Amino acid sequence: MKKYVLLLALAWPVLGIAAEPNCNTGGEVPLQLMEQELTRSFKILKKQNPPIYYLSYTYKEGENAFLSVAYDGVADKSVNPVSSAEVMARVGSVKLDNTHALRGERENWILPVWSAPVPDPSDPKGFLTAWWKGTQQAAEDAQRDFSRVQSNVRSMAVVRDQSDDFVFPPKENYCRTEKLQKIDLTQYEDMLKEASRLARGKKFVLNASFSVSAEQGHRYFADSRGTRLKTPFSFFRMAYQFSGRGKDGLEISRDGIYDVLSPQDFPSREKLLADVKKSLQELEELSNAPEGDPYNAPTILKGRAAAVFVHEVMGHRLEGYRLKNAGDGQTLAGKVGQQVISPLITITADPTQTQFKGEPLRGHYEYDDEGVKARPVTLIENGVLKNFLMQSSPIEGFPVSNGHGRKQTGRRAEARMSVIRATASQTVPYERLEEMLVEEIKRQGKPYGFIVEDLGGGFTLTGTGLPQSFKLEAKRVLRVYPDGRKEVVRGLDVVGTPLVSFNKILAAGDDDTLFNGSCGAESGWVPQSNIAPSLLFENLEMEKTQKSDFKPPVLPAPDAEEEGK
Amino acid sequence: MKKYFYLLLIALACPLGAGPLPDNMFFRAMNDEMQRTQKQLRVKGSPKPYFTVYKVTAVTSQTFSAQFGAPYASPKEPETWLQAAVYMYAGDAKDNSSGFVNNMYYFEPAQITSVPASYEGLRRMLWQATDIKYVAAGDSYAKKMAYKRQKNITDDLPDFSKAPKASYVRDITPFPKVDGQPYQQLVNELSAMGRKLPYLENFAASLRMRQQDIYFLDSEGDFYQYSRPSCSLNLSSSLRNKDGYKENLTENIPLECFQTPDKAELRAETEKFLARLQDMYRAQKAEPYLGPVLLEPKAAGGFFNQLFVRNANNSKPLLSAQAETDGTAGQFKDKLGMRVISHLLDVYDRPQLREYKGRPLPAFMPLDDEGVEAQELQLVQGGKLLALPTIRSLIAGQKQSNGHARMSGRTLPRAALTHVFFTPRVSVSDAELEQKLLERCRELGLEYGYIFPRFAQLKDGTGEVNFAWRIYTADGRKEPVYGLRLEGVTTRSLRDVLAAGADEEVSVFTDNTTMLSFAVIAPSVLVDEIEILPTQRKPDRAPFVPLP
Repeated sequence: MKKYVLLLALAWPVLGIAAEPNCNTGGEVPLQLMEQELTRSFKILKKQNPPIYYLSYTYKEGENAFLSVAYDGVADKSVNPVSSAEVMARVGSVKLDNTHALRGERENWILPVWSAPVPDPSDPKGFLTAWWKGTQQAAEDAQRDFSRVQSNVRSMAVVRDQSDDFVFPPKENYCRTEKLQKIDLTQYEDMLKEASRLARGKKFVLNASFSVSAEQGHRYFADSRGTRLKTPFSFFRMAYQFSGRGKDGLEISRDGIYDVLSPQDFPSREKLLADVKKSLQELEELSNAPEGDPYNAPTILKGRAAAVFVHEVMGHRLEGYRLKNAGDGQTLAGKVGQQVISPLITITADPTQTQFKGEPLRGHYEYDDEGVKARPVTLIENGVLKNFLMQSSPIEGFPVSNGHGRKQTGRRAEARMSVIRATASQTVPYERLEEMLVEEIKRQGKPYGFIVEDLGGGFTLTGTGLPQSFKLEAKRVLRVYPDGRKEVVRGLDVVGTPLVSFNKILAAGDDDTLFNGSCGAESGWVPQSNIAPSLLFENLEMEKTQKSDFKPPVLPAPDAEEEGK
Repeated sequence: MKKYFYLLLIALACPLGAGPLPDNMFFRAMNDEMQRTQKQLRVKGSPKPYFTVYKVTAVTSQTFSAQFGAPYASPKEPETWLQAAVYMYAGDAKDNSSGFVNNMYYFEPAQITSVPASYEGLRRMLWQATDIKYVAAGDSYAKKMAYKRQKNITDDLPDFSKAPKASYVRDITPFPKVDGQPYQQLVNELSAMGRKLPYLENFAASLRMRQQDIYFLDSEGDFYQYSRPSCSLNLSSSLRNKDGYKENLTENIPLECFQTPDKAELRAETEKFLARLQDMYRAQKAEPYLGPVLLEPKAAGGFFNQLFVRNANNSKPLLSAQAETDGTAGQFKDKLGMRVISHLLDVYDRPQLREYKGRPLPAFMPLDDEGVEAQELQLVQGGKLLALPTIRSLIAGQKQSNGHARMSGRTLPRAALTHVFFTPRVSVSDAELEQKLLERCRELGLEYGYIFPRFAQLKDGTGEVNFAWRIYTADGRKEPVYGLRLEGVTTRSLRDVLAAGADEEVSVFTDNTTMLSFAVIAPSVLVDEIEILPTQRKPDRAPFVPLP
């Protein structure tokens, strides 16, 4: 029994607990009403010319709570109920429909669908009328868009990938209800205020903010193929950020983020205060640090930084729909079965995972935004390209969705990342990785190399109009000298191109680290998780970060002046 | 009228001389940061701060909404937030940074949102915003001086005139604890009334309660503190009329704040709104017309807002190196002493009025946003322009500000009207006014005339009215009409007012650029000539699926 418990304890953080259905879609009032209006509408819409051949409704109800604190005061505190509807209509046929990418038209970049707040379903008339209005608008828009698609296809250059625009998602029926967790924002006020007071009198702090947020509720989905879903969602986060600005306009920041499964798991007061103190020390250290210079040198991307790197540099290029968009760089087109990155690395996407080392995964979901069951996918295995992230829009060789059609409310779904994980076939303890970095610096005869301890985010360019490059905002960079000495520097960003950078990986640590975040792309902002070990690169290029045009304020902060008196 | 005089007397009875600053967190933070700003904020080679304004607003708001009887989810507790606005002129009284902008159509926002509700938080936000404004003021000062030299502008008018110290303080009553259930029930019931018209695509009722607590301090020691509550019921609906044109209609009904609403009265208002929707549904399309139009009070409010108020505001044009002229400046700045409107009308601005005829007014202002007592103005006498709203940056012929500087997060302090009364020297009854319309139509040989309940949103003299009554000269019969496109409506039309009624109403507007609210109080008026053409909009197809 002991062994079993131990195994469970080891396995549980990685795999999470599989959820079970616990209700019946037929007994859910919102789904009953959605089905009633969807069925009534679709009978008529499918006979129109051109026909609406697929229709789906998404309804979200729940609650968003937010508390923001700064400088010993509450800046924002709200608990807002959520009740929103979305209608997606497809006009034409699976071969060619209104979602087909238009060539030469910029407005095609953003992909809106009809969405609006709706009244409570407890009174059917208001609820049904809202869906009726949305359906009418969605159908009109889709017919208009389809005409444009037909004209565009006739007149513009032929695209390489002639796959259909849609594949019907398999019919699903799943119902799971979770009781919304109570969150009393008031109980966090004192704790966050106390933490905010730690920044008092610190001249290097220009801005500070602390927050607690909770989003929870249920998503209902119904489509004209008979899928009926009810799934819960919940995100709880505590976060803080400090920023400062040097006389040269260079901005610096440190932050802390705690994603938890339940408000009870938020950090204790002691833990939060200790972390805040550490971040303030790091910010002060950064404020006194020399400015780094552009350089190409051996580099370690540590934990969270490596996770962001995998996401930006390779993750977006594994989103399948980009391969049939003529305006996209299609870095990985035609490379299935080929070695595309270092053979050391395997990359998977698994939205069915719920937790990692006890931390919830924001990228977890049971069904994607097109009603397709989430499933794990091996994208790159030992450096060889195997698969893509797929929505219900086929590409050559990949005819069906693998449950990665995702979007924010009001946008059309596209293949997006969920829980992206990079693993290495061989790992070393992190301390050894640093030793290997020093050895590599010496081997190359470089004056120094880098350890990037934290990346704040970044972007990657995938369009053909611009270089297929990336830029990652380094929040904390150490210059490492051949004698092993380390020095914090500021003002550097990591830049490069994907195929070159990913082939420069020499070794990986055994310190898999999670970075939970939100990612913005054509289909909007989606919650997302990235896991990676620290990675040692033969070299990575650093360039100067953008500076503010402004000096720090002329007068010291009021509290800093008073501390100085 | 009696009520109006009573309220005005109350306002005037409150002295505006400066007293001690109220002892609260807002004034402590503003005053402490103001002292530091005026004494210490300096950059070598840049002009020093000359005049600084801090304005902090605490907003509390709660809304209840429903559609066709079904409630929209709404927060259980009112939402509360703090915002602050900072403005600064650098230089001195003769020459300072005021009135110069880099871009005529975009002023750097003076507003900070999400201000932490603590002394320390307020100080921090004011400190940062003051620094930004000081840098901007130094930049504007240098550019303004260079521009004046380049354009040989050598007027002797000071950039900032003196004004007596002033203050106004009223106790702040907290936003009351609201039991939301009756309000939600009310909007449910009112919105359910829309169910009886089967062709309505939307029918919603929304009740909003809002209170702004405003705290103001300037570097000359002027200050004010008061609450501005505003509560209203908003009805909104959309439909496709019998010809397939999509039409939207909204009605805003002011409510006495935090009092139990008169349900019967609101049901009656909703019935009236539904009746208008029925008329709108069965209306016929407009045909070309040139002739007199009777504007009901709300339409007259819209007419005067667009043709008079806009042209009286911003009496001092801004300077900018990027444009020779200020397109936002009102046209009346060069028309003092000239006839700008019908001789039948006098026009006043009354910033210190809190309410009129039981309806709260949106721009109550004891002091303006440059710390000057806001004065009642007679703008027009017998059609002739006597005065314009002014600020402390003077215009020719003016010795001091009349207290009409208004700022928001979207604009620097500029001259703007508040509560504008259009008072007829002679008024007639509704029936007489209608008769005058018919007589004028007969004189012109017209088969019918028009009555507008609402006016158009004009752009370059053109705009659309989506509903009006056609009244026939033969028998006085009225028919509803939609799709009226107005052409060539300019300030000339102000002089075409032939008669005015005695049925004045308050119309509230919010300027889309500055987000400042103001009111026009006007009676029905008969305008001699307006050109109408049928709308160029196209009808929409019938819905694919009938309404549920």
